Amino acid sequence: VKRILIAEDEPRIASFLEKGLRARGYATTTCETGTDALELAGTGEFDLLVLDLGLPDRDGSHVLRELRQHDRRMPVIILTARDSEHDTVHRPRGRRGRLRHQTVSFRRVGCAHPRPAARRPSARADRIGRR
Amino acid sequence: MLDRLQASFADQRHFLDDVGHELRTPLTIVRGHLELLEEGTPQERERTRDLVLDELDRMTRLVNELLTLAQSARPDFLRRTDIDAGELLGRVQEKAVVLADRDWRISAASTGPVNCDPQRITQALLQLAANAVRHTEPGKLIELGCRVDADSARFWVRDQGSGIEPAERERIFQRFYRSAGQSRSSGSGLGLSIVAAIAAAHGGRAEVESEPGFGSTFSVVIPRMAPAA
Repeated sequence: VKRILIAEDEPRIASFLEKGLRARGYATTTCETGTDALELAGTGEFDLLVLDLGLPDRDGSHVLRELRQHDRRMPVIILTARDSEHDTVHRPRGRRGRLRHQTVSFRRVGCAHPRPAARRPSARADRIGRR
Repeated sequence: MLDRLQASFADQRHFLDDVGHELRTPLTIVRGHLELLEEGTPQERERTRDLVLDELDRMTRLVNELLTLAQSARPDFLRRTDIDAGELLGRVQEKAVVLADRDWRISAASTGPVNCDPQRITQALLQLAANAVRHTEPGKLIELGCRVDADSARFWVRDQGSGIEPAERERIFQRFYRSAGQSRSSGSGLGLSIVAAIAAAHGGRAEVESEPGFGSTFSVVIPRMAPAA
């Protein structure tokens, strides 16, 4: 089972992410701060990070930069509601980091019916998050 | 001049970015939960329905508050009339007591006519009252007061809540500013901006005094007579 770490402080967003991902066969863990996200991501127990850029304790792009100092491989899906944040993430990633913008949607991320450990979401995550 | 134009352009960009963020969050929530609607049990579907309606209510409030802010710069924003300050404060207290279980008291009330929009002043003071409720426990004292002197009238709401740190005091009147630990569910983040906008439309100002650990006093200070146009 693929394990997904969700770093999101808005409980109503976290709840549908958890519900949707679990129904698709993933195991999820949710945390609400960037500090917790880094600590949990550092355990090596997660295959993917879903990262909200608007976390209360520190800037999401900081979290991403710090994560990349230790871990260059973990795919990251970035959630943001701010247009201005696109810039702050894009720059430090450099030319090797590829970033795609999409609306959060389970219809796009996974499939309409529950299917355990579908391949598509992780493939997409790679494209979005990997350096 | 150019600096000022650039600053105001940057302000506007930040403001629109904030508005976008505040509206996208409920949109994301509604969309996410609706997409998973069919996968849930009947109870989960019912919860989703309540949640979606709650988010739509929140968006409605936000849009209304944004419209109030936009209107506040217009000359017809206020419907001025002469009203006794003490009487106005009494009306505010009547409405405040139904907001929440607190010990609502008028600690000081001077009388004297004030030329203002009673509905807008009431709206501002009730906003301050609602904020005071959010920072105090049930049953606690919240004081309302007014003082009229030769030129100006001061209305205030005083709570014995946790108070506000000095660094925060300068930022709390900014649009979408929420103090640490205040989540999206506690308010739109526009309440104090609206209070300040109502005071400014009267030619006055909104103020805060606070001692961390002992509570805060928020005031609306307005001229007793409309400033000459």
